[in-house]
Amino acid sequence: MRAAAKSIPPPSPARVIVVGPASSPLPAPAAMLDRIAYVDHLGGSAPLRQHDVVVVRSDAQASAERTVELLAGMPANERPRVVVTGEVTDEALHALIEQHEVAHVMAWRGGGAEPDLSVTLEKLLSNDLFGMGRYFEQDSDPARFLCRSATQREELLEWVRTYAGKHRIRSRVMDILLVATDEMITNALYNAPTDGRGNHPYAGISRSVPVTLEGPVPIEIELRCDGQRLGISTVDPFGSLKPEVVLGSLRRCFKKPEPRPGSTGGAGLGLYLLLGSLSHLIFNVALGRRTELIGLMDIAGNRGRAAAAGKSFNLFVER
Amino acid sequence: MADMKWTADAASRRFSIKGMVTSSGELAPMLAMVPPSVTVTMDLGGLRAFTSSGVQGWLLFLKGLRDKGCDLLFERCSPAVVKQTMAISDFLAGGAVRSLIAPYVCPDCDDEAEEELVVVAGKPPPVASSRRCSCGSEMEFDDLPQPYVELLREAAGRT
Repeated sequence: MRAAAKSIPPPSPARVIVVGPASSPLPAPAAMLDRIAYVDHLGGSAPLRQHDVVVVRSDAQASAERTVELLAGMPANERPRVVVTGEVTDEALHALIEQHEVAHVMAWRGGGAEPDLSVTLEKLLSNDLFGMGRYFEQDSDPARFLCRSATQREELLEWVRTYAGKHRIRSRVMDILLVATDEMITNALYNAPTDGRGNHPYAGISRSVPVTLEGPVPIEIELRCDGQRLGISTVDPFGSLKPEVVLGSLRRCFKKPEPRPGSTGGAGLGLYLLLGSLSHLIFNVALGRRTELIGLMDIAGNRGRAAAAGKSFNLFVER
Repeated sequence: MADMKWTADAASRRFSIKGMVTSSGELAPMLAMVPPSVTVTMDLGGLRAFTSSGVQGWLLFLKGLRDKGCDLLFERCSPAVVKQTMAISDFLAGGAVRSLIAPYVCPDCDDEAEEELVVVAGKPPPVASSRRCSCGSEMEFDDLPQPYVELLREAAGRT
């Protein structure tokens, strides 16, 4: 696999501003604490201009609405990256996504999102994006599968079934996992490949026609499971997934009332189904070099509570 | 979950579909064998999931049946079908729904169970939040209830 560019931390401390009650500090590594500031509410856009990342803690609905207003008045190149977390209303969330291309939505999952929020901030500040392991505790039983042809689909699905069976994943979660696997590998094999001129030679081919990657680098699939949740990732060597395509799917997924994509297809519908099925979907993109999709799903408890807890989404683009 | 499998009755008017729908190709033989202008009944209780290609294939399949002048009746719509009806426009091509499958899971033994909810005399059945597990514990409804309630209400309103 082509080596990833080495991540170089920014020379000056990137900073985070949290809009919301300071009484409940943001979960973050100790090394990051002095880079985080808190404001109860935003009086103007100056604090937004002075920080690289703004975290909107939507415990306070007014915070999200005010942030939307202020961001609308800022030039695009001065806007901080926005992370929305908490129980923000669908309307405010949709406004953030629609108007400001918010690429980081962290559902409040009874405190369960806090480790992922910390990972999100670390990634935004360090520009070190790739790898699923950081979303799991140790002993998450990583397993890897290399794939270069759609003819390996059945072998891959059987490998996933065997892994899930070893972790006693129940049938309804297994269904979601297999669909996620199919969507992710289909995306990597059919939508991601480029021909050097930016064209996607396999994107228009029927998915029932097997394709094989021509280059030396295969698709890498990884599974992890820690007993509470299960993760699957694919890494392709193309980096061709366009952020605007991903954000378009994000808008449709979070829009209220729930979107009805009709017969639209291609990557859009696949991403939409992934977003609808998983607890947390993460895109790591190094444009022109590689793309990693990570899907996380809760495996403990019932599906209703998992769905009601909301969905998290991140689109990271390497700088 | 395996790829899709289906069976048909001798008159090719009643089908049972199981597994994961992944393309239009696997549905094409059914479309070809259905006579025109009949009521087609589909038992979807074993239908576990749809991929995006499967969703497209499914919509084409139902459109093909409609184009042949067929009426559609769906029985035992699985949780995967219920989920898609909430997300995809006209996912059942305007067909009638007779019943749904409600999923349950036991928080103690992880056992899973299903219960068929049948629309009778224009009335939607209640969606119970729990049921007794064979281990003695209370099983919980294993999904968001709202899509089930809405689809049952809609189905009842059409009968």
